[in-house]
Amino acid sequence: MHRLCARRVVWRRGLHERRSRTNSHWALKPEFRIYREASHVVFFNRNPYEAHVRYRLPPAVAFVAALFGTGHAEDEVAQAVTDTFSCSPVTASEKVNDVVDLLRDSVLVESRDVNEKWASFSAQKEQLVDLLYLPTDTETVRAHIPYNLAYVMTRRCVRNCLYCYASAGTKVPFEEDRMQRARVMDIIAEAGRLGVSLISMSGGDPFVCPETKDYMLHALDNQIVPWVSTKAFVNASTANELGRAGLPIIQVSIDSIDPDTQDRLCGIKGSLQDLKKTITHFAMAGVDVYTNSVVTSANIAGIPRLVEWLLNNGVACCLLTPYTNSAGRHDDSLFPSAAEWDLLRSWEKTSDPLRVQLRFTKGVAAGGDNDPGKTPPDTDGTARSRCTAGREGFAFSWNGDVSPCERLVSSQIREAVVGTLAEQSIEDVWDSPKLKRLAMPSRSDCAGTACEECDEFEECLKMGGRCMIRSWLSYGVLLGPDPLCSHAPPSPVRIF
Amino acid sequence: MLLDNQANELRVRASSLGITISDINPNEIAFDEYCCACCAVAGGT
Repeated sequence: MHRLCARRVVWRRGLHERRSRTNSHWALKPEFRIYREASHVVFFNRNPYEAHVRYRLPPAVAFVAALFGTGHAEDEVAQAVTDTFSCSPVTASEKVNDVVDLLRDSVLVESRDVNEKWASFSAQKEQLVDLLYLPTDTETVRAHIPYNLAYVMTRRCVRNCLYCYASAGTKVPFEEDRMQRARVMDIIAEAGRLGVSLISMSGGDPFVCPETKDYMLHALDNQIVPWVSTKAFVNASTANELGRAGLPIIQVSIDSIDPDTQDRLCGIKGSLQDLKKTITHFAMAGVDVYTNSVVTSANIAGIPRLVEWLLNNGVACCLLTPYTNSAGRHDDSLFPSAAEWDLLRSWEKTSDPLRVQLRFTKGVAAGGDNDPGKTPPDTDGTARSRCTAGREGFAFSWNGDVSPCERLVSSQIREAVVGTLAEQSIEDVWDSPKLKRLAMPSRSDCAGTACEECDEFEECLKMGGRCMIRSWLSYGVLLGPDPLCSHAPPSPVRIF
Repeated sequence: MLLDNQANELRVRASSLGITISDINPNEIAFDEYCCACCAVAGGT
């Protein structure tokens, strides 16, 4: 296995020891949406907290997985395989058994364990017959349509978080050039027609925009998951309406269960009570509430107490995300120390992994402890980015400006703007040479950087090893190395 | 029956493209882990 592919696992090992034949009923997890690409079939998880894992299947294997649909016995699927390929029942049965062995619990789930919330929010499915095709030998790296979009609705917010990567806040006025409601509704409808799975609505805080609820409802009507992260007070009526419409998930950002710490980090007094109410309203409305807590030096010691309270008060899962440097509001003193990280990691090992997720800590390990300029020990390529910006989606701002990723939009980096949804269709932007160049640059596009002559250029390009915002922060270029790459020159700024 | 009246269409399609049971090769399944969700999850709101 190439060392850059450490996080790409290809099952070429032997199959699991064959299970005794139970003829269990299996279903395709309803969270998945299937995308047919030229060289493979992608199973894209519409649950944003699982969307980072991408299953790529040969078409014939995808066909078998899709046969399970909303739930069938292995024998039934084996019979369908026999009928389709005119093969012996024994061979068909063995193949189906192999597929189940490898996809159980990831793509397939026992029918009785199907998540009803997602099952009731159906995704358009590829027709079975369309999964019978001959894949190309050349691997498709860039999706034929975007799977997800990020809409940065405004930089206005109800909080003034010390660490905000978008420099959002209460004093930021509503942008005068915000797209009209009718145009945004059209964009959402086009996304639905194209087959977009997920639209992240962010800001600022989405709920400062009076149109947000309608945009979310419109997305749901178009079989798109509207993924919103909020730090605002959301009343019970709004939460109930979204819950009734099938909203599967919401993210609430919360820093601490200590009122003073919460107020200090988000710069507004009384915010903790608001957040508690928002969590309660969505949980009571039947929406799965996930929380995200940005881990800083100011709140890291209180994280266990915060998590305990959240899990006892209706939160499905707590995400803990290391504070990172961004092109937005930043203060090096917000980085926790290595000793504080060690304590948090020790505590995390004792928590329920299904309900507490400490994420992106590879970067913390690579970034070191308050040592800007240190070459990160990314010896196996696992710390650097695995970026899908411009390859599986893009981001657009309140005025329609399009950039490959949300951070570039939030930071208003003009060099990253490749088009505008105020005037162009999603399809036109997706096919534009400007977006393709940033997503899939050539060596000459990276001229003057460590990437230009790098031996790993092609492999790195394939895996998405660059991060445009980190490259911009460190070296002032969009098309350059991720400072977490061991081939990159020392970064003058600390990233993690 | 799982396939109902689709069986014939699927059989014709597979046959015409030369797709056989041996193309069902689970050993070629791959998964990739990306940070595509990092924008809204990591260090943001």
